[in-house]
Amino acid sequence: MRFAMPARLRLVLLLLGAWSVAAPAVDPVYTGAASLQDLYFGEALYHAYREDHFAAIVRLDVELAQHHALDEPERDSLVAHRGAAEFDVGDFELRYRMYHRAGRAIERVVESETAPPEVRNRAVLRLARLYYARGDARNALLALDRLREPLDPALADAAWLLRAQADMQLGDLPAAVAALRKVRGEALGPYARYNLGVALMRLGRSRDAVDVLDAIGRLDGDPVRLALADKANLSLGNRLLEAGLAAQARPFLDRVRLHGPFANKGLLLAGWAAANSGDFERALVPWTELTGRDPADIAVQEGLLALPYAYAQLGVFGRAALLYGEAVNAFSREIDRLDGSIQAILDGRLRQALLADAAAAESDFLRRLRDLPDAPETRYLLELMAGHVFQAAVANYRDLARLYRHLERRAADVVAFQDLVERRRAFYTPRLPEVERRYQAQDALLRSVRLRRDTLARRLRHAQQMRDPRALASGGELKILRRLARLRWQLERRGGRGPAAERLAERIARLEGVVTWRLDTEFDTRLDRAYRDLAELDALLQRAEDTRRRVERAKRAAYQSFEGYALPFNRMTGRLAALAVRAEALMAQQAQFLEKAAVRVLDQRRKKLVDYRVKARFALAESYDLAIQKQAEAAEAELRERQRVQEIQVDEAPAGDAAPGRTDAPGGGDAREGRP
Amino acid sequence: MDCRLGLASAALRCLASGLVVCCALAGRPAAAQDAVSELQGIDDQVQALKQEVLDIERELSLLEEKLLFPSGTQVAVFVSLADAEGFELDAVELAIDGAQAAAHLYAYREFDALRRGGVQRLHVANLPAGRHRLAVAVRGRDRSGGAIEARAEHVLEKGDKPAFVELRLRPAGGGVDIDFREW
Repeated sequence: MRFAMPARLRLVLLLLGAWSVAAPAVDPVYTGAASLQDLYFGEALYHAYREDHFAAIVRLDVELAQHHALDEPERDSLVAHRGAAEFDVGDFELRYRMYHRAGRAIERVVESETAPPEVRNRAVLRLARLYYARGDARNALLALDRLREPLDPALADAAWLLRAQADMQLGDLPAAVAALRKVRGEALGPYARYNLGVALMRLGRSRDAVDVLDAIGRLDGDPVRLALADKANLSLGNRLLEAGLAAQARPFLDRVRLHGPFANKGLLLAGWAAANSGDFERALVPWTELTGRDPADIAVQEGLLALPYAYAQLGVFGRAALLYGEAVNAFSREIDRLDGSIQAILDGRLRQALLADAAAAESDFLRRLRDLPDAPETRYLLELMAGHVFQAAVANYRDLARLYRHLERRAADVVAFQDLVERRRAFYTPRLPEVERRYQAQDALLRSVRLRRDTLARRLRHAQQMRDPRALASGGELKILRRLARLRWQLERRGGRGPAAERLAERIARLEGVVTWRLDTEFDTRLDRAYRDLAELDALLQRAEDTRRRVERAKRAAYQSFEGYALPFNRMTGRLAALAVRAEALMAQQAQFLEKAAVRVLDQRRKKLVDYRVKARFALAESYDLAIQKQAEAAEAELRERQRVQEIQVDEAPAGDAAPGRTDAPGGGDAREGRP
Repeated sequence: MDCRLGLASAALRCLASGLVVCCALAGRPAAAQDAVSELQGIDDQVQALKQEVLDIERELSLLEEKLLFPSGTQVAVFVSLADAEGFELDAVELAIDGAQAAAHLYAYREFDALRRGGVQRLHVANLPAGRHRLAVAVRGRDRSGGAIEARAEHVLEKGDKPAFVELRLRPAGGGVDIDFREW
């Protein structure tokens, strides 16, 4: 029965391998999420949390651009998050693998004299992680030197851990150990402790290393912790084995789980631990289990050579020859599969597989790798993905594919926008002149009404100040007063004297008195009513003004709905097309890189298998010869024994009893041995 | 016999015992360095391209918003979660003046983004000045997987400026409160 390592376990292995290069925290917490004051900033965070970092950067870029373009940016709601936004945008860029831009954004915060010390220290740590993720451990350490006291304990732990990783990358193991020793116990996670154990081991401090790795090797819990325990046990066992301490290595290798991601390597080394102790029979147990597993696994392939070797050491050459023959066949089959995979990659099927579900977030893509159907182009993909360079190239390739699709979609959008603009132009162009003419007429009328209103208001104010009742007289009253005045003037011009004239003058005066009396007594009432009328007029005028403004805005909006777009859209069409061409070319370049890298790795495996096959064939022939030779020797020994017995019988028997010339054919010897 | 076997087996043993280290290191420092250099060359170009795409996207987004949603008529509706304890959001539906405007089904990653403080822009529309009725329906599940449904209405007095309405969902008493906040 063949045993293939479940894809889920291979994924754990992949994640474990990628652990050390995952620069940013796995679960990001952005600075502005608490007490949100700006909805669009919240939207940028929403995109970032759902791992659409492109959308997050665009949203924040747009927000920051609008914010900086304001006359009074301090009144904008983004002002509450400005510092966080400028910090977070660097983080988004880092996660979108825009290291150059992220570096510049973070540098700005680090250099800023106004940034709070805590924000600045976080920026320093981020900058160091950025350098480390780019493989520049030296600059990561220099960046960490820029941290300033006081340091938040959690941040200090993270900084020491990163320092240790960088020191290990540079081979400065004492510094790495010293850095890891600074991390608080509760913050020293299992992976960091594993690194500490490995560093101690490499420094030759075996006793300390064994203590640390032994503790890691006893970890329990989730699959990743269990896998790390296996890894620690395997490392420890391997190192002890290399040091010639096979007996001490055995308990650690026995702890490696039989169905974990390191099970095959564990079985292989467990066999060697027994073999190195001279106990080849014991070595048969793990190696027999190992050779029943997936022949694509390198440990299994080496197990296929190790198992017959053990049989040969036990002198069971026939069985050894048989197993070498099986190994040759297994290597041939695997070489054929590798050839198929290489050909599929060269045919461009790997690049298609890498774009499966291209819209998915990166973490989702990694998870879905395990569900890919077994096909030549993807058979070794998970193992290839364990390399940081390959992972980075895949991420770039998928980013480029998304960018290309985005550019295509936006190019289509621009065409639609241009169409919309032209339709609006066609709709508004014949209508707007008439709208404009009527607007101008209404505007002129409104201006004239406003002038008259202002005149009335002035007169009213004057009447109030001078207490001039006549100013509030109605048209009829003024007419009466004017008529009475004309009558008096006519009377005086005629020089009227006498009682009739006096009576007339008296009547005129009385009538004037009546009107004047009414004007005087009603002055306050009339003034109040006049002001109320003026207020009503003002309200009407305000409504008219509002309408005018709305019409003005609508008119402007109508113009703005089609004016000023043609040039930018035309330019964008060209830019989008040029960018799409570049994206496509870069995709091809990145795909070729991936294919070359994949083929190189698979070719190395193929060469190794070809080498194994040669060795297996040689060992097969040798074992076969030895089996034959052993058989012949056994037959010869039996023959000699028979002859000796016959001679004794002849010596003891009376003459003439001896059987004449009886010989047995060779090959009738011990059949305990397996025959080739 | 042993002598003959010794030559082959020593080679095999050496080969097999070194396998773990060989597999891990794959013995390719020069090739690896070349690959890193080549990748960095491509990576620099990819980063430059991303920068240019972001630049054009920013310009295009601004133009698009100006073209499609002029500030005088723009109404944007956002969704946020005040607290997600014991609540899982499945869907939000929005109707404006009786007509369905938006319906969104939440994937886990989207719900998680809301839970962690993100704000989702659910809908952007153009509405004339005046009164508009927003009707919201929220569906989700409680801790035990039981269905939760809540409905709420809000009257928006739309003026001449853009209107931003936040639907803040707050699990409470086995249901969900929907708070409307105009920004």
